[in-house]
Amino acid sequence: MSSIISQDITTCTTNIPPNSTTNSPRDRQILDALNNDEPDWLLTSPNNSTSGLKRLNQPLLFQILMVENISMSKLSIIDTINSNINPNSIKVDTMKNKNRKLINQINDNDSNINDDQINSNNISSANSTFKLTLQSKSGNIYFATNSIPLPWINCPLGSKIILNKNIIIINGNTFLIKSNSDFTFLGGIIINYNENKDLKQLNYLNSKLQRSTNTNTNTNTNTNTNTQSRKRRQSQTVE
Amino acid sequence: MKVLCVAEKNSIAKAVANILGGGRSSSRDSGYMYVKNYDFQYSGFSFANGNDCQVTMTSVAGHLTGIDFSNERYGWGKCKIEELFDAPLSNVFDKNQKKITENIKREARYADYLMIWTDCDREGEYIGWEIYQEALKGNRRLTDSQVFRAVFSHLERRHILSAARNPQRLDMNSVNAVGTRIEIDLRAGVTFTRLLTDTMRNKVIAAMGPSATSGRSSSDNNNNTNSKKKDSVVISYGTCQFPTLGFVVDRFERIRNFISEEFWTIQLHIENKDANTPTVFRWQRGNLFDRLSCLAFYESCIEIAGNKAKVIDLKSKPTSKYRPLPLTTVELQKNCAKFLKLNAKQSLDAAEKLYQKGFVSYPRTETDIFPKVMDLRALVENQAQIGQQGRSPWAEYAEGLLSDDPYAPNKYQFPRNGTHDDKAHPPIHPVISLGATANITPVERRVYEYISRHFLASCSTDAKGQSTSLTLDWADEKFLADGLVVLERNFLNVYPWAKWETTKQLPRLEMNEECTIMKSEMKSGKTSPPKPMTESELIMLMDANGIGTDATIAEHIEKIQIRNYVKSEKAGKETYLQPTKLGVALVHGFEAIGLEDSFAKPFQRREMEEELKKICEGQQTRNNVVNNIVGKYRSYFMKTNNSKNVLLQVFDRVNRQLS
Repeated sequence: MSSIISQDITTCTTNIPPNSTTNSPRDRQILDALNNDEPDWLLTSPNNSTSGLKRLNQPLLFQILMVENISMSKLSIIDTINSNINPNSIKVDTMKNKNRKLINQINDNDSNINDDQINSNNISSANSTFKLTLQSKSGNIYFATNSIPLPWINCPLGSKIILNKNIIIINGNTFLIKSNSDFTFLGGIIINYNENKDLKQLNYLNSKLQRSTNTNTNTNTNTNTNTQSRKRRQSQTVE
Repeated sequence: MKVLCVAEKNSIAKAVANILGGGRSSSRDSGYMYVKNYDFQYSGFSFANGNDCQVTMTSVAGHLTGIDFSNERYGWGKCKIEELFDAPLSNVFDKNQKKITENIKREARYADYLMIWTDCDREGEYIGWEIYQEALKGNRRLTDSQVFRAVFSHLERRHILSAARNPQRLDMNSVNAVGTRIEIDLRAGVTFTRLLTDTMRNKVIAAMGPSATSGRSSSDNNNNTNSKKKDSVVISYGTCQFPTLGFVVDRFERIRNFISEEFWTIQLHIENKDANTPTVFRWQRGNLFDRLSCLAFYESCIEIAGNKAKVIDLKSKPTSKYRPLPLTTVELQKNCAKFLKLNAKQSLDAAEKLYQKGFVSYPRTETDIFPKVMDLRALVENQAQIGQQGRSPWAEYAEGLLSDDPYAPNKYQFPRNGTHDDKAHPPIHPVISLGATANITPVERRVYEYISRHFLASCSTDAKGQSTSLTLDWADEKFLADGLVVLERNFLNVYPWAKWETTKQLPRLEMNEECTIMKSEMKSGKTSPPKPMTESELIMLMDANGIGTDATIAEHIEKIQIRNYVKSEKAGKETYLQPTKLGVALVHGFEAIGLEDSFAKPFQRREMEEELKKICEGQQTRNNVVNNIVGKYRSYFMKTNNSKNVLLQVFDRVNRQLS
């Protein structure tokens, strides 16, 4: 079964029947999730204004394409990645970095220094909210966001996750992870997704920022009408 | 028996002579117009076994000597710059220093003892050693055992008498630390100033005119004087100046590269019968930088819980706003910039003058802990000015602190302890109260008022209040609202700069109560760029990163403005520091060479300060530290010298971009 979690599920072929007696319960769970088809209402419903909240009716297997900390601005994440890639470039105009010391030399014999200490500027804090970009075996893209801390959030890209029956899905494309029973994290990796991961993430964030700058410039003329309609959509009197 | 006492400034010599001489000292000229010699009799020195001594009290005017390279051999253009990393150093005296040293030598000639009364900090220790060296030239009979050091931090009579009765020795570790710092600053400063100036002078003049930079490198004093042309444009380097500039440029670039981002959050409005408006509860998750995810939370909450939320936490507890910690130099400069809009140099100069006039304690201190034995109550009494005419606006408050009324909430309390103790001086505090007609400038008066109010606030009771917090659960998402009722203002009454106000009352809800949501909103906002650097922020960053000392921070900030690397700009009530094109080009130039961590970032200077501390603690030697750090600068020099074109290209680029 380890072969499934370390390959791209959109191209994965497996001939092991889910009910084979040689399979462990975990293997059977993975195979079930892989073999289950996405329900028809998934992905098609964003155009349907009545869709709202639904619950998944059977477990599905996904691979994690991207993890974004959406509690932090893109500029802060870019700053953090840049200073991890090149500690000399760290910006010193805030008190945030006052205790940061450059590590220019490491004593090989000192086993007390570990990678976590070297990469002390982490963009994954326990209280943050994350947006996961997920891909199903049919290649469809979904999103998930967490309301509970996820200890595996720093996982390699291409890790596999089963979203279990009854997990909430909003508008047919965004899963809400509200409890540990909503998912089974399997681990795994797709190696080439992780090559130059920091640089890829930097490019992605920079182009997203650039795009939003361009969009802002283009839509400036329509600001009033857009703002009003957005306010109407986003503000709801529940009574 | 003859005793020669030497202070760091004439005002201190005069005040100490007046105290030790019981008001019966006579003054003589010293040969330098700003220094006088005060003669008097005193019998309290323990080293003279209580015998009557004939005392001469005189002073220097800051450092007694300078250190430089020989101008004939190592002047600008007379040697390869890199020779200066090893060139011998010699003592140099300017015109005034010569007059002062002559006076010290003359007065020391028949002295049996030398007592140093310089300021009790690292620099004062070094000046004390300089005085000893000059005194030795006038009196070869003087030995270490005849040289004493007075330890004092203000000019209050009992304190000075106690310092005279309990003399200590010069701390040679501190002397060596300062010697190390001076040598490194000189070698790094002169070499890089010459390299930068020779490389960039013509380009800078062509782009910005001959007045682009002004003044001379402090670390290249004598060797620049032979060339007036060079004086017109000097691109000076200083080991503290560049990191100070780096902070300002980093902020400038952060603003220049800022892109506003949209974020979203959820708010709940709950009816509040005790207020005219509903109470707004904020989302514990704060702002999310993704609309789709925020919308997912919002829709799921509506679908799952509708318009009902439940109280899951209700806390009401006494709370306090703490009185300020005892005042340090950095805090003084930071708060005077923030509250009184005085720059760091103005506030430190004013505090220095107030100290010399005996109104406040020594203003250069890192200590935020008052010694338990200090009679602070007496100082509060002094501020109360009971029975005096023209009392200060805070005198009544000071009187109230000492009240015998058992029901008075705000009683005198010994100040809180901070975490810093330089073991040399107590925190800054007023020594004597200020009469309405005291001979001080308006700026000195404002700084005195700040010091007094801060001191009284630190001796007061914390402000007291009751805080309430309510947490609602809406479909597993948490929403919070806080309330505060200020019950006793206490120290806030004398410290108007601290804000702590009663807020609106929260709705009356009980634990586990289900409440109706009047309105739930998904709101959006946009991030805004940080503001340019203020001086108080810069002081904080320099202090936190170990750039300069409490005493020199103000000088460095002033210097980068004089050098035209940074200019101050007023916007409304605030003054911001903005880098010039030259300032930006220098920082990015060293980045492009790959030396940003040693020049525009605080890391190299911080490392040096740590080494100096080790010398003070006896864990390092001057030779080791000089060899190590000068060796590093030598390699940075080679690298920069090989990349001069990079500096010029970056200057052109920055000049184009910012024009």
